[in-house]
Amino acid sequence: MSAILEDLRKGHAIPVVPNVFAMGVDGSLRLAGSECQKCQWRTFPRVKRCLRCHSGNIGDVLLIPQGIVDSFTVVRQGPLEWTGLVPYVLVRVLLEDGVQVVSHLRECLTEDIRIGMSVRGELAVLFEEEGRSVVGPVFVPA
Amino acid sequence: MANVLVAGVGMHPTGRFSDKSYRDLATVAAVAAVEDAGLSWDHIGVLFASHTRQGISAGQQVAHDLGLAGIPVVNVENACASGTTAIHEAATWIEAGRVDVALVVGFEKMPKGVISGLGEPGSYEDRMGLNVMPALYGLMAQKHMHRYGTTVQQMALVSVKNHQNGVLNPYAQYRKAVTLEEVLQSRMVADPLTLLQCCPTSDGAAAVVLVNGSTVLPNPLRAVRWAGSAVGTMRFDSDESEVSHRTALAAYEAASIGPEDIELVECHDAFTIGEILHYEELGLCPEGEGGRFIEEGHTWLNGKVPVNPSGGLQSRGHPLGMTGVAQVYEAVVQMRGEAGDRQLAHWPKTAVTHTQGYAGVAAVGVLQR
Ligand SMILES: [Zn+2]
Repeated sequence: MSAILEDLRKGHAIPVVPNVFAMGVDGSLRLAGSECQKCQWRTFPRVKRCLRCHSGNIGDVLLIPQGIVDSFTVVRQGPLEWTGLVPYVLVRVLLEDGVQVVSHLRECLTEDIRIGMSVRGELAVLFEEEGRSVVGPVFVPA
Repeated sequence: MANVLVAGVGMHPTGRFSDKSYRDLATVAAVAAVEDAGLSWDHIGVLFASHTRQGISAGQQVAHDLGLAGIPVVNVENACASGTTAIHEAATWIEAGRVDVALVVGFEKMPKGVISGLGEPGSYEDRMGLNVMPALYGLMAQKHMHRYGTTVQQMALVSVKNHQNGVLNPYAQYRKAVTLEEVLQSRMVADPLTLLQCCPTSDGAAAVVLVNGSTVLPNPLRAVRWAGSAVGTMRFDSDESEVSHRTALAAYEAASIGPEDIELVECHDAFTIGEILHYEELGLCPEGEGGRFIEEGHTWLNGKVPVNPSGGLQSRGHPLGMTGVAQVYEAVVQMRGEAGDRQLAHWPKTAVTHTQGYAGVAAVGVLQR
């Protein structure tokens, strides 16, 4: 992951979406989510208003990307722009604080994926675009 | 509130029609529906046009081709639930006394391959490659298998059943039966869903004429009542199953029916796991029992609640804007006893149509005779 951070610093790599992840004070990956300041509902990715209590008072929260696989699938035929990048594994992960996150699963054989398995977040190169690596948060077995 | 009747229905076959525009398809379906109702064109007070990707004011273009100048035209886009939503809205116009006759036409011409362009370009889901409809259903399938022991064979049976039904439907895109082995051995699209468990992308059109119950009809006995309907979206804490279930309950309440009254269902079998989930969401069987429900034969043409006698999205095809309207076409011809080779032995008295789509939308309609 340190090589990716270095590439991001030098501009050789770009985040997949602005403000979707950050590095915590301890240098480990965090997901940039939202927390309602009124009802404390948390979600990822970020929202403009609270879907639970309708409050517009939304703050940023850095989520620890650790949790268990709630479900998974292998995309073998993707949208047009992903044609050359299949197959890829998608997982829906239930983070320890209850937030659901959908992302890719890496470093795990398809036959080894289990609902309920523990995973953690990591930065990975998703694809190349205009000579730069596009980097996003993915999960790997914990 | 006024009683709403479906007085006429019409369809253009579903398939690939490179030589025809969406206007051509929609016109065929709409003319067939108006002629089926036996009403004159000047009775029509409003046109609702259901489509998702035909461009700005596509409904007005269709109205022009139909010679329907001067009446209000409303374009409806609600993803895969557009057609059901358009009928729901048209019924509201009649109930409110705004018009006595509404024409609803659902149509679509679709590019080949997995549906793209979902969601907001540049969003997290878009950039991460998460907006893949088969993958969303793949996630649902793995969860259902894990939680309830649903099998890939049970899911594949949905495809076998619906393709078998489609053989008998002259409007279906694929009029070819498939075996369980063929379904399971077709190429994997999003595990565990194989190609023959995913509906095709298609061109097609369907139309219905809704009327106020007091309208004088040439063939009043062929009219079917639009007894109630509802449209819903997902909540902060729910999923696709929850919204379909909640929307179904709202439609049943509007129609004063319960799931035990249902004798025919046309539901959103875009992917085979969807149909199994919809058995549960619509209350045809208890939660978790959907896989066994098809295995025991209850939803086949001769079962206690036939589901998708038209062939469903799997076989009839799924031009997005058409589907909810085509489901009502099927329900009405079955309820009238006019469904030809696929006619159910017992003409249903109560039928339910259900669609659900991208971003957590669901719509349910109830028909009664
Ligand atoms: Zn809140």
